Amino acid sequence: MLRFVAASCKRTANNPSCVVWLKECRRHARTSGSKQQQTSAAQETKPKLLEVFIDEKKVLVEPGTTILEAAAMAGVEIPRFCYHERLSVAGNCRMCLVEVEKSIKPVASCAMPIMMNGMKVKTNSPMTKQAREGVMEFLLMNHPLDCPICDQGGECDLQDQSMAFGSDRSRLQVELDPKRAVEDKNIGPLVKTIMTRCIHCTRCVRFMNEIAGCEDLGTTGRGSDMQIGTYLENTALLSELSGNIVDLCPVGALTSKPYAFTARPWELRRVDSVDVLDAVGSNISVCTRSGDLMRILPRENDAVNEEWLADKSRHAPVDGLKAQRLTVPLLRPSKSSQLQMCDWEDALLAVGRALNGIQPSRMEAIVGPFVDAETMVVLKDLFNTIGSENVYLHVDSDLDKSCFPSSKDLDFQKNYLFNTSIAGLEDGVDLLLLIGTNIRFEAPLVNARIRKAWRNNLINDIAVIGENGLDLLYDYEYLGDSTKVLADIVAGKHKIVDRLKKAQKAVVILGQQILKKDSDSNAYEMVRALCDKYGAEFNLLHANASTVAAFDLGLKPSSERKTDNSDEQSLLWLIGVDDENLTIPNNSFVIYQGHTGDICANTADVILPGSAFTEKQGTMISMEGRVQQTLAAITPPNMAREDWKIVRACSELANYPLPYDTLLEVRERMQQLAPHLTRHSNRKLEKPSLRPPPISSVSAQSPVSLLPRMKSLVDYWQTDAISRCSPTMSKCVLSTKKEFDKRGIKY
Amino acid sequence: MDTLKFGDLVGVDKYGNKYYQNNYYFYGKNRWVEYNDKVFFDYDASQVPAEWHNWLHYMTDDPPTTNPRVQYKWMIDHTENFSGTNRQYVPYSTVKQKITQWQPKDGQKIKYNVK
Repeated sequence: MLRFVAASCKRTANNPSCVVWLKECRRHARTSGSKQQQTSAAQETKPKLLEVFIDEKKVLVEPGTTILEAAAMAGVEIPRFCYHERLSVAGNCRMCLVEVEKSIKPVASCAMPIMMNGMKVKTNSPMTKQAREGVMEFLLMNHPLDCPICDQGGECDLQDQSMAFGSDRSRLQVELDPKRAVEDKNIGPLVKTIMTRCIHCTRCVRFMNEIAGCEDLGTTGRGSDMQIGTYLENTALLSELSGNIVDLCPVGALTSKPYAFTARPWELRRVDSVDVLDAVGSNISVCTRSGDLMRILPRENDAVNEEWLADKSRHAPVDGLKAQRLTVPLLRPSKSSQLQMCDWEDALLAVGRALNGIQPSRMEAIVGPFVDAETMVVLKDLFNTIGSENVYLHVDSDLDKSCFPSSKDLDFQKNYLFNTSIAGLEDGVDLLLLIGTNIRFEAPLVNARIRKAWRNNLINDIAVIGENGLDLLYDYEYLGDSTKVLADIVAGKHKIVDRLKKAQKAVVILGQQILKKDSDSNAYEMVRALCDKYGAEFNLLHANASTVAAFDLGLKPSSERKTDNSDEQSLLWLIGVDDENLTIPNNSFVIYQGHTGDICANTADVILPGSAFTEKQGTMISMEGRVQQTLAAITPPNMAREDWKIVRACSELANYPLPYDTLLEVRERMQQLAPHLTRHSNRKLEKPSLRPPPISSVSAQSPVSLLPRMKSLVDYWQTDAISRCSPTMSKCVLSTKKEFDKRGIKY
Repeated sequence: MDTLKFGDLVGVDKYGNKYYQNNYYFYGKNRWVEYNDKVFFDYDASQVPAEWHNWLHYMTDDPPTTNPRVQYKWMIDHTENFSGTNRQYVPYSTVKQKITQWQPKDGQKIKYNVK
């Protein structure tokens, strides 16, 4: 049924109605749009620019541009509620009415395309002002006066616009004409609804249908009986992007449930940061109040997350980073005793003793999913000075290690990046091949980008090798789940080969969360060979934020660890690694450093409390190679310290003092190792130019199925130490399960 | 205190403070305390123990030297006011902590109060 709805949804996108046509025009007007299409369009019919006068200011626009957009070009902002530049145009709030010369009635500027030369628009005339006042009065007639207890208070479009454009008095007589009251809906643990406040802009409905691809929200009734709802009662939204409708809602009808009644926007401090819960590198701003993390909001970046944010990134750190924190150093005095609280001095001395007393070849360090590049540099320097090369990036033990690049592949960045780049998915992709990935949950915003391209007919051919029956929010062709399909394609025997050959830009995405089977596949090599043979773009879809930085710095994947059974003393330094089946060598001194005590902290002999991404300045590199940094929004709790400083302090006590004391000095060192790691920029993406030598032959192996770890939305919510500690995420799991049960969907 | 006065020594308390009386002076000035030399300038009114406080403030005319107080078992020893020193009383927070500490699976309960 879902497939049917998705298809019907696309049909509307194909329909050359005014709305879609407008969207096409808008895409041409934007620089981020398809280059190829732009040039071809320019060759065919170069659109003549039309003159428009906005408040007597002349602007030249392409035909089809709306008045509202033309006004924006002229620097005039027209008030709006329903219009949103990333959603289709609804034109139902009427707040953007403007006067157009020679038109008797005011015109809704968001839906009015400019088709005529010399149109004169007045955005400040008495008629426009009166129209706005009238709309405002009607909106406020049914809007409750509960701003003092409304969570949107202070960042409410209705508040702002009624101040700026509303009338100074109301003619409403409540005694004669009572206000409308609407029952609240339960739509899951993330979004709280107070439906009486709704002004029916339908932004949420359009977002869920168009971008999130979850057709649960809709409108019923008409006129003053119109309601936004889920048609059925108590329906949790089955979407990983539902938190965005809270940002979209111009009033307080949809607010964040975990954040309800906790803070006011004017009390918050915002710090720009980067999300680390997946490898997309979404730009976020972290809102804090008096050293307390209150909420996380997306920050606009067209190249990465546009203005959306996945629910896990938005909600998990807010309460997940407040539970089970490592806040004091702990030490196990002997193997048989329990972990005890201690001072930093004792903990560091114990680590220093271990680093001095154990053979360098028997020392290992493994970094986990949230570790910043600075820590990795310092750790690697420390281990190399001691004489150990065993610094690894953690690879979950339940994953197929052969879908990861091996250390010999790490010489070329192109071998392990998302080379097409996220925005590049909209840029003339003829064929998209997804291998062994449930991209919807591994990187929700990349999937949203693919859906956007698919809806706009920029990607029309999508094929999947992997789990059957995944709901990816777009139509795709299922090719099978086995590496045999890959081998067939490489050998040129598969039906998709023709399309691959024909495609000018074919994009292949290999997942990094493929479950381990009895025998190893050689998925990575095979996909590389496939790309080399057909000239397709090779992409790895990383699941962890630290992966690319680790590979850039030459850390090996931990699947290449060599552990033996000897009883000689060894050392294992884990930084934020949580894995139930981690191999810990016999007679090992385990150091656990991190911010959350989850699984592996229990096995540790020393626990060094580190800081989370909201508490430190650190370099994170996204899957496409974008070098960004997190900034410290709050201080680490109690005795916890920044991770690189802890490693630096250990080096001092181990008598291998490292030659840097400040973050700047660490970054200078980082620049020596990998110069691009210090060129932080949210906007610019440096693409590697070196091409790896092509792989021509792949060894034949028995077919193995490539199944991603995450199957359905139930698996999405709790995947790492932060989200496992988050009560909100637990509620999401429960409500999703309940909803799946109700709808009879297996999970 | 800080004046030249003559009087009879009535008694000495457990801190070594000396209590004097001379009825030649006007009522209100006829009883006074001379703090132990050890405290030097760090003298403080709270260094007067409760029983002498009564006599010094005319709640009673009988000094504890002649009429010692009844000692009940629930009485705790007098201490001076330690505010501003490192022995000061700090009330513990009754508010739920914003961040909870991880507890190892097997081990003592780890507590850490934010100071």
